[in-house]
Amino acid sequence: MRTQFIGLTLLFLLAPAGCATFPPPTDSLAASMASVQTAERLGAEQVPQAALSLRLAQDEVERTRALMADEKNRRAHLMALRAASDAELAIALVREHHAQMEAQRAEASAAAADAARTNP
Amino acid sequence: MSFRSLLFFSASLVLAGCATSIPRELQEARAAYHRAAEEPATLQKAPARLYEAREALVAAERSFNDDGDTVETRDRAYIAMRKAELAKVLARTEVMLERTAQARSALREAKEEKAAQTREELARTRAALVEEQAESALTQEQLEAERARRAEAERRAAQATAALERVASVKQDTRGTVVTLSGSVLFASGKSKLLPAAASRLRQVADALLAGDPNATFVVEGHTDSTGDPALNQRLSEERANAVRDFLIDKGVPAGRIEARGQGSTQPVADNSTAEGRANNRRVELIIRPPA
Repeated sequence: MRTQFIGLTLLFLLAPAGCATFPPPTDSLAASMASVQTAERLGAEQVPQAALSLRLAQDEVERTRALMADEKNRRAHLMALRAASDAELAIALVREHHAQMEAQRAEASAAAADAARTNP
Repeated sequence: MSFRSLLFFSASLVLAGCATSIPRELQEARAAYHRAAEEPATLQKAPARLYEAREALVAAERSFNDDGDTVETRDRAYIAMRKAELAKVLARTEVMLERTAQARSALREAKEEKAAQTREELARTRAALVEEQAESALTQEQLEAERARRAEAERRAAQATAALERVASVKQDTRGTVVTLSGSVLFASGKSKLLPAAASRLRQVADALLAGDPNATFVVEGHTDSTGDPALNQRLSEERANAVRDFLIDKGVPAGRIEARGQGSTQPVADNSTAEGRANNRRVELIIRPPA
């Protein structure tokens, strides 16, 4: 009876932390690493805003690995999701930066051509 | 720790989870979502991403409601915040891509207009060139005609001069062609009525004048020698000039082209102290002035 009671209490104590029941998040880690690599390839380090998000993502990947090594799988899974969200944001910021440059160039060309037309 | 205090400890842990203040990450996630949702572009251009952001926020809220301010709640809130920012950035990017597309099509239009303008200009220039060439062809013709006219005029002038030289002495000076007729051939001494013998010679002169340049004008000048009263000489020379002029007009020379003047004894051409000289001074000069 006492053993059962202790056992239930232990389960009660450990269950909220939930580490033992969660599998290692290898999939979410792989996904986040892939996104980080994409961001690096796109040159996020050169775009100021994107560089910050990229660094956060890289840190979070490391923290994911550390948590997995510590068998804190549930936490590791969420950390991997964090890394993925930061990497995705980094990618979007790089694309935004390029789109802005492109828009400015195109608008400058159009303005120049317009000026040339009205002032031959 | 005793077993009982363990129980209390675990119970208080559970209770504590439901009564904490809202974690900073969750507050930031809510704010980020509202910022994204407020921008009209986000809903227009990235509705799926905005929905994802909302779902993430809902998951974070649920975690907070169920378990309170846990690491999981904070992680989920963090993720929700990033997803909201992502939606906003993607929407902004769409807007910029549209701006680029518009600018490119405006540029294309401007280039097409410029090309059309250039084509028009080219066509105008070609047309102007064709006109110029046509004009210059005409001018060539005109030049030829002018040259022919001038050649003709010169021929007639030469012919007229040759004719005149047969009946009178002809020379060129600053005034033009000067035909000198001897006074004794034309008039009796002291008289201003033409002698009958003068008629044939003057008729030839009239013909020569008419055969010459039709735009030339003529001046008839009467001259005397220095003998006698200068006033009388002046009047005599005038009357003689008029007599010659009237004759020439009668023979067809247009009146508007011929003047008469008397110069008296003021312009001798020879020495008045000799008889020969005086004879030479008694003359009528007909000046043929070429057109100006």
